[in-house]
Amino acid sequence: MLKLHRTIESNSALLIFGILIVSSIGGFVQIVPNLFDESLHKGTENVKPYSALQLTGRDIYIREGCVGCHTQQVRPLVAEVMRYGEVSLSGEHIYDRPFLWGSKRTGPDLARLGGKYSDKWHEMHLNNPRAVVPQSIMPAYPWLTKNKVDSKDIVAKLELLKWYGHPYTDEEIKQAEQAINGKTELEAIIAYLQVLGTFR
Amino acid sequence: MIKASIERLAQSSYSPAKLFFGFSIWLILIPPISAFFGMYYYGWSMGIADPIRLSLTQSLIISIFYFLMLVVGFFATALTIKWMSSVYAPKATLKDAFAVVTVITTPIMLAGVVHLYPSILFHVIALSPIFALSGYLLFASIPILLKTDYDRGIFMGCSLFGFISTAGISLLGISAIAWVHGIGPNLGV
Amino acid sequence: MNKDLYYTDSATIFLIFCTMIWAIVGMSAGAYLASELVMPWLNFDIAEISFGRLRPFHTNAVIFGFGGSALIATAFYSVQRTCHVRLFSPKLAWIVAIGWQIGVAVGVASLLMGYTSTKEYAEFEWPIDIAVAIVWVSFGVVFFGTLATRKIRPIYVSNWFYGALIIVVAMLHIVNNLAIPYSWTQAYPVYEGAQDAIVQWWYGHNAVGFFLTAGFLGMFYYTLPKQADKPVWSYRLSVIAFWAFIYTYIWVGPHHLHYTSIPDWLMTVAMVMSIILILPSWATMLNAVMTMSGAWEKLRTDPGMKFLVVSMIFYALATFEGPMLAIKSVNVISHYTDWTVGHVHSGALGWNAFVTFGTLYFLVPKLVGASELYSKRLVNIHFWLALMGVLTYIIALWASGVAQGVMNLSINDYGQLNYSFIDIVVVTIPYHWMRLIGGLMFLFGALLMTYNLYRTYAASKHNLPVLVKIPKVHPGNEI
Repeated sequence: MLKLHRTIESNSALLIFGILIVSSIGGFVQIVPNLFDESLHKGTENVKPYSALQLTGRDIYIREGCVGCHTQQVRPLVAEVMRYGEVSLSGEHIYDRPFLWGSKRTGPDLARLGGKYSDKWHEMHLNNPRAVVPQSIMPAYPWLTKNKVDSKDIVAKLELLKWYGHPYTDEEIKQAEQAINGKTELEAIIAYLQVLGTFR
Repeated sequence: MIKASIERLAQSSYSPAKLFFGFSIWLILIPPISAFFGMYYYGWSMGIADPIRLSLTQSLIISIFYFLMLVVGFFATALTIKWMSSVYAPKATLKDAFAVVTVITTPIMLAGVVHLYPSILFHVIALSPIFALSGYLLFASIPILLKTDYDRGIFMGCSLFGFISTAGISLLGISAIAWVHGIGPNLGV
Repeated sequence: MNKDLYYTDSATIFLIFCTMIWAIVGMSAGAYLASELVMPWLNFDIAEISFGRLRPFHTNAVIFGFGGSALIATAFYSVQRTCHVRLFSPKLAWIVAIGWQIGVAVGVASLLMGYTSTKEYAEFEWPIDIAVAIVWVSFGVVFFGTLATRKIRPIYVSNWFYGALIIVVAMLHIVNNLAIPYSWTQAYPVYEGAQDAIVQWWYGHNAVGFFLTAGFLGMFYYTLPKQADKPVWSYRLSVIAFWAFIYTYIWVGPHHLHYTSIPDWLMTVAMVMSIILILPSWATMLNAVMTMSGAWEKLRTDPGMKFLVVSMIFYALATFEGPMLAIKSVNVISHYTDWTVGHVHSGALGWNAFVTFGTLYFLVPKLVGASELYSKRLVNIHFWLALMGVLTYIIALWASGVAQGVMNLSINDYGQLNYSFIDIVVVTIPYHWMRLIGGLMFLFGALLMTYNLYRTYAASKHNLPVLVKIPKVHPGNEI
């Protein structure tokens, strides 16, 4: 065995080849089968692609780095279900590009946020979190109210997603720019937050 | 003054058994017994809600398990020291290994009384200087008790520090596993 | 003068300078983030420094800015000397050095502006991904080109690890960042939902495993034997540990996704492989510890040696704690809490930063032709500051993380939750203050190091370039 290794370590091509083969195995086994696993790519009953306004809001959520403090994944643990709502299913996320499950709860999980608070609550909270939760450490996002959404990319976004397989109609895409024109970023992100968790 | 006491220990004659059963084991009892009272009578307070008190059965199981873990840890550390000394301290004997463990764990075991007041913040604040002291004792006692030179002693201290912190972390992990399986605070899992 | 008779180190010196700048930038960002958690008014209602945008700035600056520059610098330095040949294309090496700085700097600036893919440690958007990939491939060309034109037949172990770093990171980067653009600056990934999560954490964990572990092991395997003046203790162990390491590490990604909506078998496989991973990791540590056998007095005489020795302790700790956190029962409590953050930093500060500090303290005097560092005393102060800093940091976050994890799940006898979320936030405040203090100590140590290295350079820069003649290869080992 060691003699074989003496050969490998005396030949840079063999070394490169060996590293590539050995390090690819785990990835192959874990990623490839899932590409063909129907259950991972099958939607739940209620899953829908995001509307133009909701998608814009989602991209604002991404821009501001909300995923750094908030998760969107309820684990199958009794206390989590009590705290956050029903367990997250893979079928709810088939139109999530990218996924936003998060990895840290500096703030609460938002998987089932939709419908829990009013639009007005979200407006107050995003403008200054401490106005509704005095001990909150969340940053304030007052610029969302001031900024109007940028509608120049929405058609390109929807066409790309349609190409990926999200079921948008041509009508929807044609009317997308009009649908979001004049809206504030706050309205967009609230539209997104209010749809969270309604796909189960 | 500390070094002088360690020198005296090095020069005295004792067997590992005498050291353990005459001294160490009584100290090792302090944290589990304090923890029992803390868990059962007072309860762990996390600041806001009522303190979480465990039932009698759970408190007993955890305290006994805690005691056993400390005893196992004591012997494991002593044996590890003996094993490591083949590289770092060739003149050391098992008796010397036991002496080192006794020295470094004495302040920690005595500080086990903090378990009577079960608050995480209090534990962190009170135990940090104690662990710092034990760290100092680790490096101070090795050259004297294991009869090795300063440089090798430092290396050995570093290795031991690695071993002990790994053991400490595993205790944290074992605790988490125990809690999730029902031995500990009521968790909705 | 025939340049081929000498090693070339100018790119390395430049990269070491960049490493220290990134250390200060990245760690300051980290300290600011920690402050924002305890004093949210520090967000100042300015989007570009708000926590959500600053966090990926910090992670990318320290991993790719600090870590990346250190890895490329030391790879260039050590591959030449272990191959007994001048670096393959010093010009390309310079392009790599500068290209990397531009790529990472533009990248992290773009993150503050809000251009992000959100995928952890892969946040750069597609144009920067492509730029960085080109630089990385060039790095591979320089590195493997040097290996291919070497004068000594066996390839030394540190080069296996650097080689694995380059190859695997390229594979990870390409696969995880696959996305189709919808604008000149933004794209949507080809993967969706759970599939995206699986690919992301295959990438995310192996970014840690190959960028932050394998690469730095390459650094370590060169520097330690050199500094201790002793050969690596066991060749056999190096071989086994290397291949076991690069095989096993790749499997453990899904342990970041325990109890999420990915298939059960994936979680179980990841957990089992994570535990198995302790073996190759600790085998390396054992090899390192035994290599120092007989070089005892180095710890006293060699200022940077302390950093190398202690880095192995934290490496052992982190590579034990990681698999432990990958156990599903432990993960139930630790997932999404500060415990994970504490684990990350025990590895990043205790292992990566320490081994980098030790290596740079060793390399800089050699590179600038100085007989020793400007101040040994400053190195000692740095060591104690850094050690106390990292210990304060991780103890604070262990306490905070366990509190968060337990409080999240704590129910009373009637089956109701004991704590609201904000209760948990309030409880962690004192630990976040402690962590801030630990981080500031660590940052301050890095500032002292930058000063020390600068003074060493300034006192000797008239010597540059230092010409190091390439020694002849021992008979029998020639290619």
